[in-house]
Amino acid sequence: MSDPSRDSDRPAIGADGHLLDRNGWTDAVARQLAARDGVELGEMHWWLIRFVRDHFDRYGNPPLMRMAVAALRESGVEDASSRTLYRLFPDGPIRLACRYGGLPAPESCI
Amino acid sequence: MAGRHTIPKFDRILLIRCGSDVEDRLWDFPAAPEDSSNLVFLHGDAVESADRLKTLAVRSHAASFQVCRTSWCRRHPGRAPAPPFELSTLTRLIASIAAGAGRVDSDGLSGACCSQGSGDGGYLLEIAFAPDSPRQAEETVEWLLAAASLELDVRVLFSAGGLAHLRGEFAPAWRQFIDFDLAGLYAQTGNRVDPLDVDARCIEPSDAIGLRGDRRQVILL
Repeated sequence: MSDPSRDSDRPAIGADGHLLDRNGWTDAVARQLAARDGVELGEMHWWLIRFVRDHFDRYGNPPLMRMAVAALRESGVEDASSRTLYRLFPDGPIRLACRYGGLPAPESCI
Repeated sequence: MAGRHTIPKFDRILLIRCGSDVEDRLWDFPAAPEDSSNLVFLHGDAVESADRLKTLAVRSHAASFQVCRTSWCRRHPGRAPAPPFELSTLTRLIASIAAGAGRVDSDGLSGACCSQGSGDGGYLLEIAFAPDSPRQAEETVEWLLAAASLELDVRVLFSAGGLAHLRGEFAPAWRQFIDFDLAGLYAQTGNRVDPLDVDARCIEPSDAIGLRGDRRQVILL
C-alpha cells in the first residue's frame, strides 16, 4: 500500500506535520509545507526559516523568540519585536519555522 | 484580562529532579498551613515517580503537585499522570519562583539545597553533576532556556562533575547563552587545567561562595 503522506516530489511527513527525515528538506519542500497551511513564503519568512535551521545546527535546539528578535535587529530591522515575527507566522513563529525548515517539532514546552 | 495567565505564588516549593528516594523527600515535606500554599514539582527522571507517589501525595496535603510536561511526555507520550499530579511547565515553575516564592527546596542530581529568597541579585542555577545521557543534559539546558525566555537575571555555576556539561557534545547548547548574552556562565575550575569548550568565566571556590551569597534564589539542579 502506498504512503499517502508521500509522493515522488514530497518527502514523508509525520502526523505532527514535520518531516520524518530532515535530510529531505529543500527550498521546494519548505514551499510545499507552507502551502499546505495556505502560507506563501516571502523574504522575511525565509530569513526566519534559515535562522532557525542555522541555530538548530549550531546549538542543537530551536532558538528562543528573543534570540530570533535580537538576530533580526542585528540584521538591520531595528524595530523588530516578537510582534514582527508573529505577523509572519501568527500560529507560532519558531514552531512554524521549524516545521517549514524541515526540523523536528520542538519537544520543549518553553 | 483575557488571554493572560495568572502565575500562582507559593510559600514553599519543593523541586525534585533526582529519581531516587523521592518518597522520603515527599514524606519530609511539611503540610501547608491553612493560609499558605506549597508546591511539589517533579522534573526530569523524577517524573517517573509520579504514579507511585499519588497516595503519598494525597496524604501529605501539599497544595499542588505538578510534573514537567516536557519531561513527562518524553517518557509517557499520550498519557496523563495520575491525580493529584498534573502537568505544568518549567517556565511556569520559574515564573512562580520569580513571583516571590518564600522558600525553594531543590533536590537535585548532586544533592539538596534550600534557598530562602534572600539577597538582592537574580537567580543562580547550580550544576554539580555530570550528565549520564543526552536527555539529562538537554533537560538541564531547558532550565536556562526557560529562565532566559522570561528575561530573568540568571547565572549558572558549574562545579565538580558539572563541568562535563561544558565539554564535548554537551557544550554547544550552552554556547547559545553566551553568544546571545542571555546569562552569565561560571565554572568553578579551581586548579583544574582541562580546557572547557564553552567560554564560561572560570572562578575559584571562594568566588563561588560569593556568587551564591549574592543571589536571591539558588536552585541546585
